[in-house]
Amino acid sequence: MIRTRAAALALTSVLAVGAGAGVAPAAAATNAHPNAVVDEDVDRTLVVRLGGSGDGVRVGSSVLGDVVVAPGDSGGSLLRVRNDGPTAGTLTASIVDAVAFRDADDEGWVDDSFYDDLTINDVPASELEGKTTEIRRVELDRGASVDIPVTYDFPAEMTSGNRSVVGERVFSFDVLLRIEGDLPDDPGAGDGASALPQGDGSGLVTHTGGAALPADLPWLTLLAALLTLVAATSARALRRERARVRVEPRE
Amino acid sequence: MRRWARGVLAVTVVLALGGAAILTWMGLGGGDTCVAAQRDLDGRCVELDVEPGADTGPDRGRFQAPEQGLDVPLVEMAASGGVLNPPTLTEAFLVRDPERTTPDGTRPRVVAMHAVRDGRAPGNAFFEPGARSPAVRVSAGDELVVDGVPYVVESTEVLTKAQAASSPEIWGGHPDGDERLVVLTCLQRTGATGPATENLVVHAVRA
Repeated sequence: MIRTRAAALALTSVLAVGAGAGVAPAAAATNAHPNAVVDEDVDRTLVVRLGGSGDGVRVGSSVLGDVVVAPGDSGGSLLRVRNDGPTAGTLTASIVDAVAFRDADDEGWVDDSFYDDLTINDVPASELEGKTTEIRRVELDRGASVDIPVTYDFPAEMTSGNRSVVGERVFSFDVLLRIEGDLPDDPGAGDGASALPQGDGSGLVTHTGGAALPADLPWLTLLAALLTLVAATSARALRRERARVRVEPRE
Repeated sequence: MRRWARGVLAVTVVLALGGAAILTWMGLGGGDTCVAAQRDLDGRCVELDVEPGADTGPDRGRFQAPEQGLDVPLVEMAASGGVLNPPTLTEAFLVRDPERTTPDGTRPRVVAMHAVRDGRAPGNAFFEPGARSPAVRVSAGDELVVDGVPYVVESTEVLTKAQAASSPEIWGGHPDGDERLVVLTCLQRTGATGPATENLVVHAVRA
């Protein structure tokens, strides 16, 4: 029986515009998988496990952190992901739950092209909203790692948001990492009828004992030595007897 | 000395040398009828408490207990007649259970292995050797790996074989049974005679 299971990791990043208007970045981040848990190894490699006990793990720190961007800013972060599951699998990294903050109630709000100008992994932020956008797909052997860059760019020639009052601009997104592959057969779920109890409360008597038999080697060695001694003594006596017979004078 | 006495001496020499040669050959392993399945990890011949069955399935990789220094082949086996009796002394055995799902949940995976008094089988790694009241040498937090899938030990217990056979923790369904592992072996007490009367049970959960 072949099963397919996936493991996922959600990372959160927030970008805010901090140009001339001096807008503070948003503090909140969206959480794609609130029930996920941190799973990093000692060198901070993110570990995604195929066939793990849950559907996802969560890293508390963000991918890029809270970034304030101005025209000409660009940067990024590298995610090192390791397949810690029992088999090889296909890793996909996607940008999900992207949210571009627009405060229509703010009288100072200017609807400019900021979210078109800001790009994440060369994709305009406006095109990431409300979608799952795959940024990397790679086959990953068991135990293998791969580096996935997550980048942002706000070109210098862009003037969007570059006014004294434009309203707050915040863009946030998650990076979802999934490894999918074929798990090996359920161990123990072989063919044939089960000989285990069928809910009657009784189980199997486990005979897993035995006793090592005492080694015969010391006794055999001792006996062989004794017989050799007997043979040697008898041979010596026989040799002496033959010598004595040879030296007896003739009558 | 008479002729007959010399004859006796000659025969004694021949017989003694012959006997010594045969004993030396036996000491070097000649004429040993112990089959491979009866030998423990150190090659010692073992008399099992109960003659084992031989219905084994495919290889399932390795069973590893890193903290105990144990790394042995894992083979699938079937139980029969209400008895679990692994066929060899050098491997761990994953008990075949195609109907793990019960009305109460899923039964844990069960791995069984022999432990030998005055010898060394895989199960011996989990308790103190050469002791009348051996200490259990696997504890909560230790890692067990079944065919590459890691588990973490939650608890251990020593049960009589009857208690182990009727334990719902081992043989019953659990809501999280799909994530659970039970390792069964015999607890061997040095100086005891006859078949082992207790099972050492290790409960672990998927890491």
